[in-house]
Amino acid sequence: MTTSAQNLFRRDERANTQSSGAPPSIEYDLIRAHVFASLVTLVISVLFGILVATKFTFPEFLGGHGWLTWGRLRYNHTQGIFFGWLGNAFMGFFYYVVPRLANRPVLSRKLGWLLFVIWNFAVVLPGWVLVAAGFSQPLEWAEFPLVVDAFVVLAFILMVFEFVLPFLKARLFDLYVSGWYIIGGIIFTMLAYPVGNLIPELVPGARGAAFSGLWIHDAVGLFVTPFAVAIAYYVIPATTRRPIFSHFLSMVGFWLLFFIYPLNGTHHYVYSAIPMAAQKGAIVASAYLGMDVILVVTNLLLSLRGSSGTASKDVPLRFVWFGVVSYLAVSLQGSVQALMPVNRFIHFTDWVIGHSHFAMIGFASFIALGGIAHLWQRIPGTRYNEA
Amino acid sequence: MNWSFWLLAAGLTLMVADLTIAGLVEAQVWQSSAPWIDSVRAVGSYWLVRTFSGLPILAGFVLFWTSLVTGPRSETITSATRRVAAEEIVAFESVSPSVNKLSLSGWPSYAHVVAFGAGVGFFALSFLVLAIIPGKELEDEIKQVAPVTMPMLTASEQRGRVIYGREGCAYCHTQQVRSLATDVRRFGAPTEPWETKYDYPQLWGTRRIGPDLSREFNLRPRDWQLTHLYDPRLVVRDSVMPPYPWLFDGSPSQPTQEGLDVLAYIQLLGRARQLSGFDRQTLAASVQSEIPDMAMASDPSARATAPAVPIAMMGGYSLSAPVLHPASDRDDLEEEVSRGAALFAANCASCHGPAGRGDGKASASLLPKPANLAAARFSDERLSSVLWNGVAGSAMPPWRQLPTEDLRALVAYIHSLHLPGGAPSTQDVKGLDEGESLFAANCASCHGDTGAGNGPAAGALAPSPTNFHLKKPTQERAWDVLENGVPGTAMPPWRSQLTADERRALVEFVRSLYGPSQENSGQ
Repeated sequence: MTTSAQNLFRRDERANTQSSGAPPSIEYDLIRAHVFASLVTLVISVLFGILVATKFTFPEFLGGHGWLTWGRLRYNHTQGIFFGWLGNAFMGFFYYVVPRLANRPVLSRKLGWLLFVIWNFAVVLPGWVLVAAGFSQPLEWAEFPLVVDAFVVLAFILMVFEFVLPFLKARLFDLYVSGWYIIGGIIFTMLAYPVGNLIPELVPGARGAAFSGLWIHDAVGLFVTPFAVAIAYYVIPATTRRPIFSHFLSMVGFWLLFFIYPLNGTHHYVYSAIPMAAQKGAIVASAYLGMDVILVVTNLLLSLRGSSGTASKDVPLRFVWFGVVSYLAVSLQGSVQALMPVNRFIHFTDWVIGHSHFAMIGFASFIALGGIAHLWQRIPGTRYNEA
Repeated sequence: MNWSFWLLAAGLTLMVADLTIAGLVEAQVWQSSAPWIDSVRAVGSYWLVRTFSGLPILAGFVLFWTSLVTGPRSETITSATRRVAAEEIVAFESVSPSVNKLSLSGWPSYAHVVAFGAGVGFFALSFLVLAIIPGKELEDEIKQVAPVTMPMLTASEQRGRVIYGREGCAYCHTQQVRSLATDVRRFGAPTEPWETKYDYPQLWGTRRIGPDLSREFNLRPRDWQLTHLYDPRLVVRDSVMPPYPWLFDGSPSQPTQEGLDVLAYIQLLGRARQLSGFDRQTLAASVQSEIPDMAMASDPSARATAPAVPIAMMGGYSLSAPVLHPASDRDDLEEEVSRGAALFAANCASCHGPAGRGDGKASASLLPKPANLAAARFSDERLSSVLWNGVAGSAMPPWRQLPTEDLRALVAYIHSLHLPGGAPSTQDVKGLDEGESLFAANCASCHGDTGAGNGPAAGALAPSPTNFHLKKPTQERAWDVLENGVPGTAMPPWRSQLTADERRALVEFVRSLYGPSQENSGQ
């Protein structure tokens, strides 16, 4: 495991002998499609957000119709960011990076386009329309209605085939940490997604809230975080041309993340009717998570040592650097927020809204933007403006 | 690309700093006993800044997009594929030598398999220890303590619940009172698991822009709720809640079935708890004691401790209403009146109208109508009691969460609305005698023998019949009431029962009763 990436080159040779010397093919059209879809949905989602924010100052603004009301726009704001922007951005990056890490092409181009169509035209678009029309679930990070959820789960199953199978075909224990994060993120999100979306419909009240709490956190911890960290772990060495500080630490950080993150969920309901032992357990796990993030970020930032010139000159790398620093800050903030003396004061307030924007923009979006800009410079037939 | 970076970084920094401070401000207001709306007022400017901080972020994203479609074009596909891929891999290959020394042989080479098993294990563990086991505990607790009488939601309430979810109500209004003194003081006893046993899915919420709604049962009357739902600013000037006109047929008094469903749902929240008498024992035990700080309470029994009288509770009629007397000093009084005027404009004018004539924007759909404060002389006792407790059976809420000085200023201001013009005592004693006998025959059953509003029938009426010792209507007002009654109350019109002369005599009689000193003799 410690040698996870050192054999990449050797594996390349092996693949060369197997496949007559050609590097794996990369689906450039799918990358471009996902990148543009991500940017379109990003701008729309941000517009939703600005409308929602405006309504705090002018509550009558666009207030005459149900489909423009605050609640529905807010649902669409967060779901658009989650599925439309981050989902598409991550998949675009997978098409670029999975063949490089697994040294095999993704499973199938046709499957890729099917996935693209499902993700954008069976999840994001109908999700938005249905929420606006009044069909939704009042569950955080799970607002799209159940019919859309079915397609999300289908998409994650397809993602396993498209992106995880190439890794399994390669020899797994040589895998670079980014590959681990991609595999882990896809599989665990596929498992966790139904928990937050379906179980609270079947299990009432406080008992359902215990499950909701898990998903609220798993959405960030098993989907957003692993993929963003995967991008950071890829872009940093690929830009600086130097290996990461420690492959061993990268794997420790990876597994700790997946061990600890799911145990955090209940910290969204501190002082609630959920049994206090579960609340306290989640708070302890939150503290451990902070430590894990310190480890991961230390490893990432030490990988940049001696490359400060590159980091300030190369804008994509600077995006990633900003995201990594935000990751540390926002995670430590999160650990502190979960502590009872802090939580009693700031829970339910705008502080938490600030925290989630810090995480979703400062950490996830900055890294995703960095990843997109990085690959955009390196794929053929694209324009790129430095200014 | 570079510009995009700086725009995003600047916008994000501003937004996070702004929201963090806003959160602290909100938290600070919630810790106090100030009315909820004060926390909304306090962060209004922060919300504006937040909106503006979104603009550079939007611009940054658009610029990012632009920089992917402008600028020089990269090479075409033929040569690039291979070259790029090979270069990339070189970067990962040159692992630092120290790491290279660690060689893997034997069982560590299967570490990833072990780790993968552990990953799945921890994932399953998270559900087990954070959802399934606590869920089982909750289920047992619910079975033990839930009142057996807790009714299911009616069809209408269930439909209302769906609309409540669809419009995102739960994203501003929690339905979860936490086991914290600040929560309990505001909203009543902490939420018990059994109260949520029909909640598919749960609507606890994680954000409070408006107040918690889990204790709405009996808190506010129907006319207030509908008016507020139609346009919140009709009754709460500084509210930021969205209006919901699509649940109505054009006016707040004409809700559609959906509007009625939402109303039914909101008004049931907390019903099971209140009707089951769950809190009665603990309430009796703790009524004199201070609210314990349950911050670190880990024992479920601590959650059941109820407060004496939560700030927001309308039902908690408090006998301890202080009598607020405006300042006697002339200058002080003037200052109080002007302060009261500002408070009145912020809190009262939306219903009572800018000049207190009962003609505010909300008055059209409130029944009974908001009082015309210029049409009667109120005693300090009456005003204090109304401000402290509200008026049961009307949309008038209690205001005792305002500081006492503010309430006193409001009393002073309301006094100033009533111009003590010519209140001629033209009626002779004979007229008053006639009025007295008419009053005894027609009015005393509700208003009491002496007009103190305490007749035998009064107990069942809400709003209570007027106590004429504490309120002296103008002639016009008294005449109008006798002619037309007071819609929305038990007061009927007397036009057809009494002659004009008789009514005139009654007007003078009830006006003659005013005087706080007589109150005691009347009771």
